[in-house]
Amino acid sequence: MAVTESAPLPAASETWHRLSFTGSGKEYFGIWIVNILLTIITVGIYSAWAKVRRNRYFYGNTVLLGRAFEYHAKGMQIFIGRIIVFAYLIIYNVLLTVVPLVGIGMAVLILFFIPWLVMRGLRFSARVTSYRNVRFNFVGGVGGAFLAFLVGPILAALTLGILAPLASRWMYRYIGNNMRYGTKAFTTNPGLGAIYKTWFLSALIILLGLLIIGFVLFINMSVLFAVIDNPQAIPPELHAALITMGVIGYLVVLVSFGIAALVYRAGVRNIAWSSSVFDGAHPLKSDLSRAGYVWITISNLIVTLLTLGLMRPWAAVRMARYVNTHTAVRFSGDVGEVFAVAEKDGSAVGAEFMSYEGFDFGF
Amino acid sequence: MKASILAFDSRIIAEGEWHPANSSLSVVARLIETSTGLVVERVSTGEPLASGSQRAIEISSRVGSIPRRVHFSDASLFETTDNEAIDRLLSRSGRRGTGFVHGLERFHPRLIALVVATFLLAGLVYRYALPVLVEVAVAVTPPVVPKIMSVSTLETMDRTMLSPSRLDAAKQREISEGFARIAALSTRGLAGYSLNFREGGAIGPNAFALPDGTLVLTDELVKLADGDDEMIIGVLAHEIGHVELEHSLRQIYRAAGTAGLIMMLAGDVGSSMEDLLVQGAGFWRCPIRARRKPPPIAIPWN
Repeated sequence: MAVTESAPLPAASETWHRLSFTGSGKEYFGIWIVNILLTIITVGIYSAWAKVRRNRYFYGNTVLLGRAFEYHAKGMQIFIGRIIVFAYLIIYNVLLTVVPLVGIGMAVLILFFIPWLVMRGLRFSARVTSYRNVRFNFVGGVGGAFLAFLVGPILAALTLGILAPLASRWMYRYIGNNMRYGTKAFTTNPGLGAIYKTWFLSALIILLGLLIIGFVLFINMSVLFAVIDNPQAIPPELHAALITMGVIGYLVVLVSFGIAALVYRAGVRNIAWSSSVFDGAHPLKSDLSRAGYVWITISNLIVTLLTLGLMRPWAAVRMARYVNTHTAVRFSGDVGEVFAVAEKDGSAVGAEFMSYEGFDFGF
Repeated sequence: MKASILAFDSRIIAEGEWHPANSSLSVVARLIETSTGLVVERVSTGEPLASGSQRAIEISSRVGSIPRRVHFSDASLFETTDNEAIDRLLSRSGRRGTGFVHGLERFHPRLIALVVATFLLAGLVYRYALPVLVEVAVAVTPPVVPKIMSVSTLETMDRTMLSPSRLDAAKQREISEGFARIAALSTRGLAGYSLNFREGGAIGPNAFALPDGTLVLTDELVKLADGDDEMIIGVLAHEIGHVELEHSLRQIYRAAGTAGLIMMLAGDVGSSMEDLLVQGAGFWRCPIRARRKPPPIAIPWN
């Protein structure tokens, strides 16, 4: 190979190379407010270009081994993709109301349309992402998307979340096993037992929330029975108390489900990433602390609400930094050689393989 | 200095790394501007790696301070973190317009004005543009749409919550007659409405209107009125008002419009914030809107 003097890469390593995030809330603030302002002024049209600038900022500041990732999508691609989906949904809804029978036919069609859309979205997102001048690719089919993004969530919902780990496993396997860097494959196989362990913690959190509500109801039992016996005889002050109780109950449910979902999400991410291997030899790792992830998400939300959204850029950067620094890869052997091999195969996806329409609904 | 390319009128633009086409291997290189265009050369030997005229070269636009990409026509790539140098090169070659958005985005007191403008515009859109859009949507909706919506809604409710009325026929006739008198006063006339009696079950003492003029009155409400027919007719008049003003259709479009507006900004507000906003909009909009505008048709009966 004529190219001898490559830029410095760490030699061999048994160490984990972590991602880092080099952006700042201050810098992102300008990008963010201009995105929103131009989106409003252009009645939403600019949102496709806004997405490109946002993603370019976040990918371009995600750094591994001193080099950043890159996002290559063009605003027009995303805009066309959105127009197509929007048009389909309008036609679907009009037909559904005007000619219900055709609408039912289209509902069956949409059952296949959604997985196809998800598949195309994942493929688009992968192909517009590159690292060290080599693009990612996604080779999953519609069948896998149907199982992972339609059957899985429906099954999880029907069983009140008991089969959610199965759905998570399908989803991560579908994404992880079909992801390519150049022509090199990733493999993922998150263990069901491990996912159930983290699921169990979330189930306990929900149970705790329900117990608190049950306890509150229990100590107010006498009042409640009186109300059920004779609904008309509620004094106004008791009325207010009942409403307060209802609101508190609602909040407890909301908070416990929210925390349970966040704990689960972080736990499953750790398991899935840590069971992933690049090119059969280089393991990936995610080691988010579940408490840390919950804390950052919730404090981000509170700070964003209290500042009427103005601290959102800071919150987004804070989350990106946290997630990146807890994501790592370990290259077995010489890192330079790993990339030299990737180079020989060339990139599977060049710009010419790009579709002109960008369905960006994948993730 | 390497004599090979660096003639009198060449100058070094930036240091960075160069990739051959589709390759992850990189070479420490520098970008040089010459009289004919741009050239990338290997730092250690001065060997030229890629070149092209400024027109044939694509330079990525600036976002924050992420690395800039210089694409050559042979698909090779030069990458540098020296954004300032690339900006100077672009402005020298007259490509000023490309940096407009980045210029707005830079951290600068001007951003305060942008924040104020954003809040003002968002408020204006919500207050004025959204209602106009809702009116347009209502105007173009063919009458068959509310008809079908109403039929399927009543069917669903009959199957899930409502059951046949157990009021005696005389009472039903009494209420129907009172209803006919006020319905005749409405712009749609008596033919525009149909009154249905149902046992409310989970929805309890209640009366509601569907957009096509189908009104439903529950037995529980009749019992609650305790013989006060005037009160029931008043409630029905109120429901007629909702239909006359096309409130349910407006509410649906309004909710859809609000959700659409929020979704367009989804990536910028974050997913948890988006959930909160969409849910919140669904929650507080309906009751307040319905209460704030009392339907005028109820007035003659008060």
